[in-house]
Amino acid sequence: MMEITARNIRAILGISRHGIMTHRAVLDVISRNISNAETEGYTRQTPVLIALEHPRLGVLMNSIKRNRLMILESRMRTEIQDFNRSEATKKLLDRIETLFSEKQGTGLTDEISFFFDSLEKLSTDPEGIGIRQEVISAGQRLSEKLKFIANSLLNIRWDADKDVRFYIEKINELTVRIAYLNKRIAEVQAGGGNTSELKDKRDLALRELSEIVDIQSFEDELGRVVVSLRRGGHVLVERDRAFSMKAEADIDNRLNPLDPSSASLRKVVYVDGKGHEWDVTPFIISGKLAGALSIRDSLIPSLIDNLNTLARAFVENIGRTHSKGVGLNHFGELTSYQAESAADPIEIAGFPYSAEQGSFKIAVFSEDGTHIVSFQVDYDPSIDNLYSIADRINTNPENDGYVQATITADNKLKLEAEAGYTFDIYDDTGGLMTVLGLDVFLEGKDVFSIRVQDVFLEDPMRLGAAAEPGSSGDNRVALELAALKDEKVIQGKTFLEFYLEVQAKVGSAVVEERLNFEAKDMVVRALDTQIQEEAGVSLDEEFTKVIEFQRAFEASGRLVRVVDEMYLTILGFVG
Amino acid sequence: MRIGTKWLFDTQRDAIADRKTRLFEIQSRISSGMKLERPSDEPAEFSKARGIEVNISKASQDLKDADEGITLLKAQDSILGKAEDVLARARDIAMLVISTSFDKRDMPALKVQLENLIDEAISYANWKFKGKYIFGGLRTSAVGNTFVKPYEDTDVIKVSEYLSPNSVSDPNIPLKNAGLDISRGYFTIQIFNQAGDLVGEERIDYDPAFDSLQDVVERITSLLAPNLTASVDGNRLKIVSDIPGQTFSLVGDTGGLIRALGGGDSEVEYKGTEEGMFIEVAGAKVEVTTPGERVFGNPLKPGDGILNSLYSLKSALELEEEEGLLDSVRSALSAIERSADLVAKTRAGIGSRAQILDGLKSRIYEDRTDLEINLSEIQDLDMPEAFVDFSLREAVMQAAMVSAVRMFELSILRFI
Repeated sequence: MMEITARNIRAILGISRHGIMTHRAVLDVISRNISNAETEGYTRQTPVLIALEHPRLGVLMNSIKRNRLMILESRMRTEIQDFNRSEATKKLLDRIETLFSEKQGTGLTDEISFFFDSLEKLSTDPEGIGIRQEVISAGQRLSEKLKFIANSLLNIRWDADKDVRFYIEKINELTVRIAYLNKRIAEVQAGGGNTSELKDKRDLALRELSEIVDIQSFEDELGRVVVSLRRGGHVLVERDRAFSMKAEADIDNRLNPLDPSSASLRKVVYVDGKGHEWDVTPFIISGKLAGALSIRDSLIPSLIDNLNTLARAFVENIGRTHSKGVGLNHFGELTSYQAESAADPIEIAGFPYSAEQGSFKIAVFSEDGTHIVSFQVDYDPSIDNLYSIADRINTNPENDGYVQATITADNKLKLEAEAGYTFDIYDDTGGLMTVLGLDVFLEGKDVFSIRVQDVFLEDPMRLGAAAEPGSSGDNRVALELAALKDEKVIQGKTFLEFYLEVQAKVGSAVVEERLNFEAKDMVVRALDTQIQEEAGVSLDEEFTKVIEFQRAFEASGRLVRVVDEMYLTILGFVG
Repeated sequence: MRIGTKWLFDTQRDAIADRKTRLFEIQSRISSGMKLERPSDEPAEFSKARGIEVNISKASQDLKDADEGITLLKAQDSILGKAEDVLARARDIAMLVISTSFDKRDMPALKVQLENLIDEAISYANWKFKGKYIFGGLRTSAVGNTFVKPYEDTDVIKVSEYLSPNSVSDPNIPLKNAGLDISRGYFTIQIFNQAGDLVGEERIDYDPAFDSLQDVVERITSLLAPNLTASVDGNRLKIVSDIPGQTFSLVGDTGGLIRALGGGDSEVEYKGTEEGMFIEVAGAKVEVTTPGERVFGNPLKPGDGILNSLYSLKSALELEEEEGLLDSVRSALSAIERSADLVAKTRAGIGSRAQILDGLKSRIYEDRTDLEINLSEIQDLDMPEAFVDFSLREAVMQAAMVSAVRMFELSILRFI
């Protein structure tokens, strides 16, 4: 039988003291859990208690466990990169899709339909001023709609570029924060302190960084993470040092891909420890940054290219057909597009369209609209330049000074009628007028410049519906114009079919991204559930623990009283 | 499974937000009545719907075009019906002349009657419907001096002497200042020998801003002497053939000088085009105007036609006592009969084109209805199904909210 000694009784007191201290410490951890129950990124902490071994007896809080499975966190970072790429892409795509939605008769299909319907109307009443006005208005609406969509795409592109710049700033901010936290963790860990909260903060920063860009990371023996780009391996954080990225103007990537003088967009540049710069834009394939880059550099330029093809097809085909026709009112003066050189053959003079060998006719009219004379001018774009065309017009024996052709100082062909006369160009067989932009109804070299020519806005009666001068009811060219609606003019498709294909392309991109987003969302949610299952704080659980450890604390306290009573009892034997 | 408090709240909040989004989606579709609102709703179907809408719009335009064409054709048919009456009355005159009971004293009255019939026929040939000539082919309204009306008397044809009916105020001042509202242009003088063959022609240019009548006279004389002599006679243009049996014509006036001076003959000439106006309806090209030449003829050219036959009767009646009156009238009568056949055929053609357009209209109506049904099937929302869906989603959302609140209420804090 064990003896009752003062030492033994003191040992019980020691056990009680350890119990009181340990349970207070446990309650301290629980309190932290409770107070951080709603803190983003907080990881539930569990006190690890151990029974003290001889000669010390009782209980001790050996460590605090951080309930986060790092393998899950690492997978989460990978998945969250794809998820955020998808989310960023989807947000921009939703804006793009709005431009191609056809609500309440305001879409481009409506404008295409309205334009061709107006041409068909013109063919039934080629001399109706109201109908001619309708054709002009339909042409303007069509041009403006094309321009509106293209300009809106540029706005979205500009916003995506702003996102790129913002994301790069954010990356730099996060890498600096991670480097700082690395330093603090190493210091605290070396001092034996609790690094749990610091690691929570760093994990949160790593997760934020993963949302923006595709990274990979690993932890060294001192608990510091090394972060690098997943592709390319460029190190962003190493120990307590952060390497920066910057958004630099890319002169090869302009806001408007059709305009080399428009603002430059930004490329992603990595700056290493020696100050060397690397263009890492191609390595960014995941995260929000990749989403913004892919919409900015792939989808939008491709859509602008498609719209440009459509606009140019309108200008070229409407122009080629319209320049076969004669209007009811005519021109006093017409000026062509600008050539790079008036002396170069037309096909290499820098005009936006091309023509083949052919001829055109110029009809001269008196003030009252009487057709005076018509004369034909032949041309070969591979040989003729603006000077030879002008010369051929001026020296035509039928011309007799009615129409004077000159070359302006800025290399444009200018046709002017003698005072009291007007002229019209018709029966152009090789498309030269479309190349020069003379009497073609729609002009412009791309989707941003397409417009109805001013001469027709001034007087809709100039619209060339007739095949020959002098017949007000001649609708032959109007019929040809209306028939263009069903012509396979762009890559074997009609205007409408081509546009609907572009529209379907946008729709399919949105659907694909939506499905991608939903799939990634499910994965991220499932992973988050698994992580939270471990790391999340349950208030019910924590309060149960509070009661549990409060009782343990009370028990330890009660034990001190028991020892005290034991002492008194023993002293009573003596006294 | 451990359930953290934050996770519980977050997932419930997300679940409710998700239910609300789904509820809003169906509500938005119900309010618009459309199941396809954006390309991404169903890319292929959305594009197909837009294509169908365009075809519906085209069909509606085709229907309007067909109506326009039918109206034009009916107007022509109606006028040709009146022209048929003219021919019938001309036939009566011819029959009367060749009948044994014809009293030659009635001839002057018959001539006046025929003249009136010719004027009536010309007025039909120049008929305007909705402000447009319907028998001018592609020339439906006046264009400067190029075209004024389908039938008019502007050229001077095969005469040995021409004295313009109209005069200028002063033969020595520019034509424009001398009271002629004409443009710069030219006309051609053709010379014919006794056998009626063309033996020469010259183009006479004039510019009313500079040239006087005297200048034109001098130009004609200098170019055509010794065949013709031109002069100013009482401020009028006079041209005389200097070779016996030789005739001349003044044709192809582009600036309107000869028209302004009053033309020359009594017979009108067709100034419209040979081609009629076509419209395209649902891919079919249908001619909706009739060039007058085909039915009224061109009195200056050989061939059948209402005016040709009326003028031939007029020429026949001019013979009066001369030998051959009866033969000429019989010949004119047969020309009238042929013209009547021509009118009947033309009216039949017009009727058949109107029928084609009517047939196209019926087909377009059917096509449009099919397209509308097709479009509705593609893009319209099935309302009963949508409401059932809405109610279901509403119930799910309510259940989610109720269960979430009940979950939130379950806390140990309520018991300590």
